[in-house]
Amino acid sequence: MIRDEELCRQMQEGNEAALEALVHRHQQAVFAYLYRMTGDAHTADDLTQESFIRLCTRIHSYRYPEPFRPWLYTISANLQKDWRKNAYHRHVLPQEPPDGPSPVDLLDRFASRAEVVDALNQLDDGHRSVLYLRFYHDLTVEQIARVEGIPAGTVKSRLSTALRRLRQYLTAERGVQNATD
Amino acid sequence: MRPTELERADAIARDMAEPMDAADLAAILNRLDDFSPAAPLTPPGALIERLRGRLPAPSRQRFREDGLSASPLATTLQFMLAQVWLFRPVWWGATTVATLIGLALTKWVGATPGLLVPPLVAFSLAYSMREAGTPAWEVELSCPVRPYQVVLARALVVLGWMTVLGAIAGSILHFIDGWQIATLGDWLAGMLLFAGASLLGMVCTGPRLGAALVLAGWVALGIRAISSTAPLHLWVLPNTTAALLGAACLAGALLMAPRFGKSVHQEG
Repeated sequence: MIRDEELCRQMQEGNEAALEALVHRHQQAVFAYLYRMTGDAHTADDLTQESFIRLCTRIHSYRYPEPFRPWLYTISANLQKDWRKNAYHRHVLPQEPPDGPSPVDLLDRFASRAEVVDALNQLDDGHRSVLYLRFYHDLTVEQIARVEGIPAGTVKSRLSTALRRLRQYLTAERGVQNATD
Repeated sequence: MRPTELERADAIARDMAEPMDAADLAAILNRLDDFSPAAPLTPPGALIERLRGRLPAPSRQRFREDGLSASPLATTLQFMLAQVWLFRPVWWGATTVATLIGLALTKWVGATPGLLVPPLVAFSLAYSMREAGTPAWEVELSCPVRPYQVVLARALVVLGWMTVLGAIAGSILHFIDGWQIATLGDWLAGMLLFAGASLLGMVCTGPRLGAALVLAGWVALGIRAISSTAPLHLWVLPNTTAALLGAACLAGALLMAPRFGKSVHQEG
């Protein structure tokens, strides 16, 4: 199978087949990352499309044989940050952590997925992004550092903090659930 | 707990700044598996359609990596030098011999040496594009060189050599019977006109048909040319106009070079 980096190089020559291959390989993963970060399928889909448009328009800045995936996720992460900044200015911040569990929330939390989503939403963007890129997208610490624009030590520290907080939230959730049962 | 889950937990634990209990970590990671988003709303095909046309022209970086300059002129010159090796010795020899025999014949019948230009140019250009439509041609056009540069580089090799032949023919005639050096202008103007017409015909209709059209025109006029002492194109045009028209045809051929591949397929 042709490596992503080689396909990227072919894209620089205007090769449409290389573009198609990269879309088929990475659209789902980019969408998943953005969906987890934004919590909205439509927003994630728009940002995924925008990520690939930027991939095309900025393909000249790709330096072969630099790993392709961190480069692509840097584009997506920047787009997500811009979107969040704009959403803040429009006062439509998504994924705000709830002040306290409502009855509807409590019902949702019987579902394991809802519990996990709630727990993840308690984390701030920086910690969530590091956790997602390491766990769901299997990027190395160095690659995540490049995507996020932070030192590798900070990536490790954020990963530790994220997983510890997650354990606390999930344990607390389980406690709430047991109390309501 | 499956070994892969433990391995995954181990791998992530190594990346943490502070260690965490392996069983706790594995349990959290298992819970994270529950958060799997659905498929994107836009199907891959629709996204690809949106992206088409946004792909860039070849990058400057790639040109550098391939040892080429991003400057079209420098690239064309580099490419032209590389093209010289595509012309086999038989072509250099055949065109030289044809010019010398043609000179003798035209002198014998009293016709102008300019009569030799159309077949030499048309055959040479057709020869330069001989692999059009073959796999080798596909490979050439997939290199970071544009179609117009391929056409221009090969045309320049042919025109350069034809000019040398014209100079040789002019020199020989000059020493034999005092042929005026100004007559070389007839040769060059005719060369430009027929090269432009040949190249435009080849780009529009394919290399074989284009060359055949020019040769058919030459044969039709050639019968009359046998008994004439004037350069062939001068029946219709003065030198300057012929050269300008030839240059315009060459420019047109270069502009239309991207459709050359289509013409080759139609011809095939």
